[in-house]
Amino acid sequence: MKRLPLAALMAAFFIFLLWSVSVRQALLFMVGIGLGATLAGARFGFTTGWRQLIESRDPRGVTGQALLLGLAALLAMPLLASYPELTAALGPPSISLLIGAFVFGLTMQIADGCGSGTLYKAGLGIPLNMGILPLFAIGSFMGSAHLGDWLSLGQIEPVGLVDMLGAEKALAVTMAGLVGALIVVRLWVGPGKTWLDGKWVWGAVALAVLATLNLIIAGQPWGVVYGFGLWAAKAAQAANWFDPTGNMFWGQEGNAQILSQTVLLDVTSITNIGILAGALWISANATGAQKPLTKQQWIIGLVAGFLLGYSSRLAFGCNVGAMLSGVSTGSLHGWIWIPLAFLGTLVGVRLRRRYQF
Amino acid sequence: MTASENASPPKRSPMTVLKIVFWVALVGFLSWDWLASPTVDLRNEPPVIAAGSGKAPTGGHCSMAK
Repeated sequence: MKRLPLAALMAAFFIFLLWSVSVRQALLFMVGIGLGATLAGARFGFTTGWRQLIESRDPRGVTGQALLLGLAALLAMPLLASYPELTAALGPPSISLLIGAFVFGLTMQIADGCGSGTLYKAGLGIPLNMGILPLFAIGSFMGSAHLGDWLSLGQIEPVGLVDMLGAEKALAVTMAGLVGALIVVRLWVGPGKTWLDGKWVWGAVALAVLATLNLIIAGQPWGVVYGFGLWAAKAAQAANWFDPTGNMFWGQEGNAQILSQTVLLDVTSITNIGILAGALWISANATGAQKPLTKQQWIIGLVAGFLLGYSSRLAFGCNVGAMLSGVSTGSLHGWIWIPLAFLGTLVGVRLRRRYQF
Repeated sequence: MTASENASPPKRSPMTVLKIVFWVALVGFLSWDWLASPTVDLRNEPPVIAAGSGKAPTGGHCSMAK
């Protein structure tokens, strides 16, 4: 489809949201379009950046990601300290986080996309990611439904740096952590590498601004995975396969309320729809065919997609909800997520090579 | 009969078919959800901008344990 009719359809959906749902949701849809267009336009792939670092010792992707995290923290932390209505992405450090982040890092390399990556690549029309999306949703739902059992293995209360240290110190600690990570990257890649790339830099700046807008408008940081789980939970409930009553996660008052209303009122769902639409808009001018996958690659990819969804709930987020939103809003769980997911990615890139993705 | 009348309509590639199935399924799900869910209470709309509204956000997030 051409860009003009697509833009007209998006404008019509925006007006529908404005008229029939709420102004906030309409604005968040626009933020989502911006996120999708930026992710797809800049090809800002968290998964690709990590893989390029490991396989080619190319630091440009992770530098772009560090820039994104730093800018987002610079914008989010003072806001969190100034406006008590705004909440950080605080996940509990737990056994489930350790396992979930490792499995997520592994499977995202096979599926060639994290939470946001799966969304924007599905929007771009990449076959495996379109196939993965429903399984990601089912996995995310099942992970959330089993979360109580996983948390019983051990957890501590979430740690928020802004609450604990104040915005200035929390920002200083976060920047020091990011610089430390880049020093480790420098030791790995060696001298004489190009560190900055225009595509990664503009992508990082645009994503940081849009993630901040999401925080200001919604009152909570950008997330992806919750919306997927909600969609599958609604379908499972409608089919009488799932009774949320008594479930540790979906039986909780806030989640039960969200489950009982249209997904168009859900903050994460609406930005997810926007990301798909934004990427679709970018794809209208894209050319080039995808390499067809073998039957075995399809099966492995789809299983990875399911595990991606399941593990993201155990890890309290994906690269967006845990890494970007967690770190930029001062959650300790984001800093635990990164090394565990990277360890998983070290295994994942080998598996990816083995199965010739 | 001309050659153009004899020509069969161009076949859609599997990728195009997958794209159509994907978007139809998504729009179908959202339409079903909208019709099956209770009507939105427009008088109880959330604040347009959460920052400075004095109201705690009510949305779900993937970092939430419950």
